[in-house]
Amino acid sequence: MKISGASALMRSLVNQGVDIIFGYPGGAIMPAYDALYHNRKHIKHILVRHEQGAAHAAEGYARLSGKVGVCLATSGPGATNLVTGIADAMMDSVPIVCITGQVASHLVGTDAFQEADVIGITTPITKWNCQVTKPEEIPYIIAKAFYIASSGRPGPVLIDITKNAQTEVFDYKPVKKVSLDSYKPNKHISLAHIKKAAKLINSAHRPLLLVGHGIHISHAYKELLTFVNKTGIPIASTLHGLSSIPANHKSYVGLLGMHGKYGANVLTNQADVIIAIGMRFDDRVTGRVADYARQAKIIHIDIDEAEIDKIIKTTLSIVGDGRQVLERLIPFVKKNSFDDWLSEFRRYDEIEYEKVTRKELTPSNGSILMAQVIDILSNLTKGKAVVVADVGQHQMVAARYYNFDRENSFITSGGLGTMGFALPASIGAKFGSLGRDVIAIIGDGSFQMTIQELATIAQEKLAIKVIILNNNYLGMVRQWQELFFDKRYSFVDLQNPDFVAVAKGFHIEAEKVSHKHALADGLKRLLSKNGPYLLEVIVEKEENVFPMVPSGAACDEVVLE
Amino acid sequence: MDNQTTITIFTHNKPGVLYKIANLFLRRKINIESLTVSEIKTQNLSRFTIVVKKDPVVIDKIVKQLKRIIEVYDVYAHNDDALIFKEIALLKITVKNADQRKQIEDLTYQFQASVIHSEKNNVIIQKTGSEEDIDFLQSVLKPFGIKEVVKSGRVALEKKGADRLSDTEIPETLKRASRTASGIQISIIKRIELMTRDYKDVISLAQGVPSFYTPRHISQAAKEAIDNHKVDTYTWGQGIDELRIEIAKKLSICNKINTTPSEIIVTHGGIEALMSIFMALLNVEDEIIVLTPDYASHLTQITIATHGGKPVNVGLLETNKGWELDSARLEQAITTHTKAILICNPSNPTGKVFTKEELLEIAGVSKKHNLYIITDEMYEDFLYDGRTHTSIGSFKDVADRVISVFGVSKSYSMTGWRIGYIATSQILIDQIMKIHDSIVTCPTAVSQYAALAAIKGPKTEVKKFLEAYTKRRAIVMEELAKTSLLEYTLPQGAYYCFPKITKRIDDIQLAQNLVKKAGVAVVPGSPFGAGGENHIRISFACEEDRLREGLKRLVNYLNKKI
Repeated sequence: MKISGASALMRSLVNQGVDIIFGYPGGAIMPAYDALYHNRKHIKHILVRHEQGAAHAAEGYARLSGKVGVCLATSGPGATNLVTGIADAMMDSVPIVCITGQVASHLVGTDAFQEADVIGITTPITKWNCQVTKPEEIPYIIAKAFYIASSGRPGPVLIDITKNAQTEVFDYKPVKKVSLDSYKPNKHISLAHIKKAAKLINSAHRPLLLVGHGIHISHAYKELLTFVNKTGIPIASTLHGLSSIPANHKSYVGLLGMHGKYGANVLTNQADVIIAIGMRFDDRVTGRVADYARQAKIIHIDIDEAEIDKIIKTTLSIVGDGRQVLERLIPFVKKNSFDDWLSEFRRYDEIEYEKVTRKELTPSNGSILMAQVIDILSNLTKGKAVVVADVGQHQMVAARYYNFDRENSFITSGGLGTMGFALPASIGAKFGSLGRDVIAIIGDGSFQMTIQELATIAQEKLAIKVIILNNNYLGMVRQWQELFFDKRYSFVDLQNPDFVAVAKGFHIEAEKVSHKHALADGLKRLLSKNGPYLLEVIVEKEENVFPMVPSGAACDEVVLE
Repeated sequence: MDNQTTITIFTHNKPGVLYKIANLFLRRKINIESLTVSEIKTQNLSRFTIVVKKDPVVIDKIVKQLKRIIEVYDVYAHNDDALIFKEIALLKITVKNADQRKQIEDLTYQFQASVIHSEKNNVIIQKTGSEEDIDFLQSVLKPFGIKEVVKSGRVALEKKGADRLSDTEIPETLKRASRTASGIQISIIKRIELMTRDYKDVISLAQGVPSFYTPRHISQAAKEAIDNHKVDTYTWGQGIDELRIEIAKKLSICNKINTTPSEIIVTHGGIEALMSIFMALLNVEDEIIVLTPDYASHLTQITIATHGGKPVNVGLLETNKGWELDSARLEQAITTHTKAILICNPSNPTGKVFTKEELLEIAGVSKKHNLYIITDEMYEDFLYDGRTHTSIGSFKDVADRVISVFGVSKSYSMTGWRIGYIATSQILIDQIMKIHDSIVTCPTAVSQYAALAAIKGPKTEVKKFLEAYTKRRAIVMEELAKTSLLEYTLPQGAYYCFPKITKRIDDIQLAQNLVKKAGVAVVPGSPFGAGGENHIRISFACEEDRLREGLKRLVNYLNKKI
């Protein structure tokens, strides 16, 4: 039966299990939108207000659902608006498929209206991209796109479909699965390496386990818990590794990196064996590389071979899926406990509590500190909500003070550090979360970067809870200017709109809290609402996030105040 | 400097792959020294060969990242040592006149390049080789005026069994040998000799080894020197006094060279003599003119002494009377860098004996342009048809600029004893001595006593040898007459015949085939420099019956197969 390329696209998407698309129509993608209209029973379409929002929403959806997020945009500006979101997905290994319309193939390269070389633009920021100029290529290319995006180390794929490929008709035959001879994501895990790793782990006196995003991607929660319970090894987490293991687990020693836990950072440089799973030794984690864990033997487990020895020279590496490696490793590691070693972390925790935490949770004056907001929120939600944090001070505070009890509960832009990420990402997260509470924690600066997505939330009546931590500053930049630029506050103060009025203008309920005593009630109201709600919290203007490993310092050179 | 690494990438043959690959190098700011892409049609793959200079740790990372590109099948990184690699260059060279054209053609030939297009004012030369080979040729052709050069970029294949960097630890490879040494190939004569060993019953007319024993009185003197413990310690580096006194006498009587024992160095054969001279005389930029065809080792020695420089070949004219000097051509080849003219007289491989007139012309040119003259007069005792040997060192007005090299190897059938000698002005002797001392300390003591006996003793044996060679020369003429495929002139001296093959043929291939298929070894002419191509060198130093049989095999093969 002959059908159009656009219809084939929709069928191919349905074949891949797609039931939701985040998108924005325009000239070159109109045939696809027409086909989408006919398929609206099978595929829900969320109309974002800017294509960047579509990409972030697709990311949020992918990270919560474990499926591939899909976004749809037109050619030219539609495609270029996706770029930030695609780069974000690339850095954070998020499987999304972006489908862009393109001018008709006979016009490609002629500077036609709304033409952009989206393949050229997105090559460095996609795991794979491809332009389709004939309808008959669509079923195979779409299957290939999903396969590449979701397998191995996930990442964004962009498919650029010319208008004629959408309109021309052909004999459709579905393609469900593809296999590529130049791409073999399923790595063979060597038993010899597993045994060597186990031997190293079993002989360690001060081992430390570092977990990253790979735990979530490989759904290794059960295996991780078994491994940690059996070995008793202290476990620390990267930003993306948060919520891999309940925060109250006795072996959990907290967040790593620039604003991570005092003990986790300092003791990284005292561990004798470091087991890193699904993390990539990002500079925010390592600090000065030359002085990172020089004393330790390092076992690096990652599915991407290119990450091995990229930053930190490893003693032993296992290339493979985190869950599968842990599964194979568990029988070979011995039951153990490291109480003395763990107590060293706790001693640092005490110092941190005294120097940082206590002050942040019980400030002497009447103003609200960000930590209080997150702390109360964490208690009210019992650590079970999905937290979507934007980028800045509030992000670090959310990561530090929310006690994640449920797996896969923290969504943020870690690698690219994209301001404006949280609001659209929370839209996708809400759709992917299967009814969980989704709370977006956003700074006043970040909020205004994608503020228009409030309209999407309102239109879809999504019960997303937005907390604006408003200090009328680009807080993190201000903090750096205070600490490293002699307090020269260069263009960081924001004259903000009335966020409550803005929200109401978007038909979203909203309120503002300025006083400590009103905070808990405000948060309770936020959580009790069935629909979207925005809570603006006016926080201390010049608050700094500590502990801090200053840029260029070693990870044990932690500044506490 | 970072090591050079060749990265080989196999990819799907699709648009955009190059962009993805190049982009990775761009992100890491790695300059691509060369990049070639070819199609593997049967499998619809592309093969990228990329040369970069970067340390191995970075290479390792980029290899892993290249492997991440979906279209990439596999990636390998290799050091030069693990590879056979080549590139092709096309060079457009200015030609002003016929002489230049000939010179360019000679150089082209010498560098194993080829002229693939010729026009009135320029020629296009094609050269395949390593980047260094091509650079060499380019520098040599530069004086003529290079209009345009295009290079293909490197193509490379892994040598069998070499380790792949991608899946093993980066090996600690040894540093490469010097450019000079790497650039030199084992001499063709040696290669033919080596081949000869691999095949049964091959008659060698290749190496110029006399068939005679060293005369008895000579070896007897050596024995006595041993028994009397004269040879147990180093001798004076310049050679024992008695020997140099006898040499000085011999030179003044036989060669009419006016010299003293202190102006003589006894050397480890003629080869050491010349190497010491070249090293004492030549800077990297210096040029030395060689009248070719000429003994291949001279050419190699000059390359070594100038750290990879090439001798300037001035071809002798091949006429039906023999090889003749074209002094106009000689003069044209002289540049501001020219330092010396080398003449091998009597000549190996051509058997030419320079006439007195020719030697006077050379002397005149050297004086006019203030050049040294270096000689190799190893075959001074073997001249035919009543010719007498003239040493250019005997010419009074150039005596101070002549460096003469002689030896006992050929005259007294003493090739294994390794004794030669240099005679020149005291100023030069002092300089050459420093090199000589560093290479050999002193010539072998026992051989010096043997040489003393040789030079002091009667020349009766030498005359016998000459008679024998004269007879053998006649056999060569007789046998070679049986084929029309060789064109030759009567050798005037030495014990070589250097016939031209009348058909255009690869003489190296022919020499190899002769060993393999005809059971006779000769030396191909090409390695003797410009003019040597399409020739073979036949040595008639071996016994008559073997000589005759060898020649028969040669002639038979030529007649049947060529």
